[in-house]
Amino acid sequence: MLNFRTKKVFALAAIFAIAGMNIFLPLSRVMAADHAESTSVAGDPGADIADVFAFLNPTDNTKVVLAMDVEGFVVPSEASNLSFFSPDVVYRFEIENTGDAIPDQNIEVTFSPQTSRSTPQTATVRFSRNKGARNRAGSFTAPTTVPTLDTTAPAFTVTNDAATGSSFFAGLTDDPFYFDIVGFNRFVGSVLGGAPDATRLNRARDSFAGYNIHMIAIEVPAALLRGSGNVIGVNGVTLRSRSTTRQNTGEIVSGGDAVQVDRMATPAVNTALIPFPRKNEYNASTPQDDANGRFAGDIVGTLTALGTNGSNIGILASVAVANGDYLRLNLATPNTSLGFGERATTPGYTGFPNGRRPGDDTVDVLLYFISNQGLLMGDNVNQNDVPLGSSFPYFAPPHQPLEDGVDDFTRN
Amino acid sequence: MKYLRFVQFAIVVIAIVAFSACNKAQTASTLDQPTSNAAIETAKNIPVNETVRFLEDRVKRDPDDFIANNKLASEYLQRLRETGDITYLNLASRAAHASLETLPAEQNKGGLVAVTQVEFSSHDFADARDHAQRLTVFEPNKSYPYQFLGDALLELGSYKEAEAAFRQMEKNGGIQDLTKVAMEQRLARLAFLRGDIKTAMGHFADALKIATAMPAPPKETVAWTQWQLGETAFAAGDYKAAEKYFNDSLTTFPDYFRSLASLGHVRAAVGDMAGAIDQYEKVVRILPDPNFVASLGDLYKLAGREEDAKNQYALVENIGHLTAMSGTLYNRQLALFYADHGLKADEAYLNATKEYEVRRDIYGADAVAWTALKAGKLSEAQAATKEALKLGTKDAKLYYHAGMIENAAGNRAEATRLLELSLKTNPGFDLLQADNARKTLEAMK
Repeated sequence: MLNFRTKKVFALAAIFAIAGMNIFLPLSRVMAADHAESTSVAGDPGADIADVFAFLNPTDNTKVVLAMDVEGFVVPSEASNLSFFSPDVVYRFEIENTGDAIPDQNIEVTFSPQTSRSTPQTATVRFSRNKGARNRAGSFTAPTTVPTLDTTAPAFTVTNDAATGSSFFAGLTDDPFYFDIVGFNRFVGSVLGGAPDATRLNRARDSFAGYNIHMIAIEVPAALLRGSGNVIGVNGVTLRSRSTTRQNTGEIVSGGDAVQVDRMATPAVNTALIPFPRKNEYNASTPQDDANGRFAGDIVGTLTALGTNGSNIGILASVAVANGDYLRLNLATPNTSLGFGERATTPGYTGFPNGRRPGDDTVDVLLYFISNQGLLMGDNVNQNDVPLGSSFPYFAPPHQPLEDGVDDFTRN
Repeated sequence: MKYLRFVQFAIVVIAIVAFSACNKAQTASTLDQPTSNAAIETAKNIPVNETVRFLEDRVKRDPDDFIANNKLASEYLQRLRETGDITYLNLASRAAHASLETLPAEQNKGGLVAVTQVEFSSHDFADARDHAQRLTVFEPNKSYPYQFLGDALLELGSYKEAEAAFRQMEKNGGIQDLTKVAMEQRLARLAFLRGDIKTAMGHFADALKIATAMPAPPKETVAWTQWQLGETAFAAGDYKAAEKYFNDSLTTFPDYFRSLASLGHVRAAVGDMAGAIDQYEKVVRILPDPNFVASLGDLYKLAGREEDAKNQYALVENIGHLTAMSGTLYNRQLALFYADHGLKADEAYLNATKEYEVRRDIYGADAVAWTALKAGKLSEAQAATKEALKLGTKDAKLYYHAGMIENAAGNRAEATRLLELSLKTNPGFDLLQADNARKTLEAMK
């Protein structure tokens, strides 16, 4: 198990990832103004992972909750137009439980095509071992939660599968991430410019407040995931069938193996520490590639540019190179909370970088190390804009459209 | 009433001019114009769109909320598409540039997306192409950068490169519904440009089929596709089919300005001048686009209402004077309007050639050809018309312009062939010029 400081430094990487994330794309379809302007493809759902979570159920530590969210910044009133899961994407949790960089189990989720805006999609959840390719605990299906435009959020549809002892949820939730992207980027800019200016963080605006995101969450018995030790690694991956061909009939069909589109584990390594020209390569790579040092030089270079000192760089690089990028959770560390409102210095803190709970303030941990442990107050956005849920899936219900003329001044 | 509409329109145009003049600065001009969708919709007495209100409120509270600005740009451009109201282009441009002002493209791809789309809608195709190219480097595995790239290349006349970009768009995302629709639409357009109207109709029909089968069919996309089916049928002289598609489009999206105008055109083509005037009067009330205003003028002229026609033409000219400063948006339309109506021949030719320097598509070549003929530059006209016809596009207007140029050059046989081809392809291709084609043929006999 890595020491706490090491993990915190690693988390620094996470933040930078945020700056380059794909989540800033507008979701709406856009076209332009004259004869030539045909439909835009921008409205098709993407496969970019925003965040991955792994934590022990705070009331029953024999269970692990895994979650990943995609396609964020959904405005509440967009819910019924834009909210659905892509039927051609495989959403996969890769589990590593032997201490190396090679995944040992997969939990894969796929969705049926949406037939109408008011009908749930059917998710298929499959458990498998990577070695031996034999289904470990079978599979089950579960309906998604259909979003609405009502003033009250729809109840979460949770499906329990007795055979695997699992619970599953997929649907819109409040985006649990909280963070001032602009303030952070300006602060980083000041660091890179050689004159760190913490006042850039005084904005204290939560860029994610008030928006919804597509969440996939599964609760499984810890025993199902445990390997030779107490620590498991979790890596979120999306895959898509890359080859599409046009038939003689004009029909477009997809074929060939699914190819990895994105991966996400520790928040920010994904894009933060990897230089811009290599991000796509990184997204298509594996933790084994990390372990083989494929990106080690890039990570060191980025950290050097940020003024991170040698010892911290050494710790971080050794983590990324030796183990690959996994969100590592110690199944033997008791957990009783979701991390809401906590800081890393809160007594009894058991969250990120030990796994990641929905309420963990990953950003503040990272900022602490950007400043070579000099900056203590973080980005001044210290908790999610709404309270988290009290039972699985533990995320807050989606924000719903407001009545005409009603303004919510707390949202950013 | 019409004048009032024009004044509103002119204010918008002035605002755009002022906006371009300050070199894409993030703040728009200080002119009295709507500064939000909420203001526009309140003025129009229609319910304020909740999504846009949400986003506008966010930006009001935090002008550096670049995510809200990115999403707003996208929303405004969709409204521009739905209404043709250029106020939305101004709002979109402001939001897009404000976003990139807050965070540069490397940290804000959505901002670059927004700016690229605004450039395309502003007919700044060269910048749209360059920024789309940058997006393909940022996101080589996504379909949308290749769509933007292909669209810009197509407008710039780089047809082969455009098709390659569209193929890459399909390869990257071709299994998804909107990408399928987008691809069919673009294949249709390429087929039309190459003179294969049947294939074009097939692709548009496929696009319509896919779009309507979606769980929540995107209305404007469906209406746009129906409108394009109508336009393609019209180009082939099939007025019955065209009228059906335009009506379908209006059922899908009531008062859709494109289909209102096209329906007017088809009414005129079948000889229903009163119906055509009704239709154009309606669309000009909704949107005083210079093309629509000019067409209404032509209809008044055909109906013997010379004074009304003159007023409409004056409106077009006034818009022309305003946009001459901004340069891009209506350049081509105005050059062709002048050429069609025997006005300002030298200015029209100059504008057409200037645009053709950067935007080398076949319709740009056609504008050079037609205006060159009117400006007495016959050899330039002949060279340009050859360019305009190089893809084999079956467009009556291209044939007509080519025929008139050959006639001026004294090539009677070729002129006759082209003018006859023009009228055979689409006998009602233009309110005034189709008659002129007939008269010219008569005179040659």
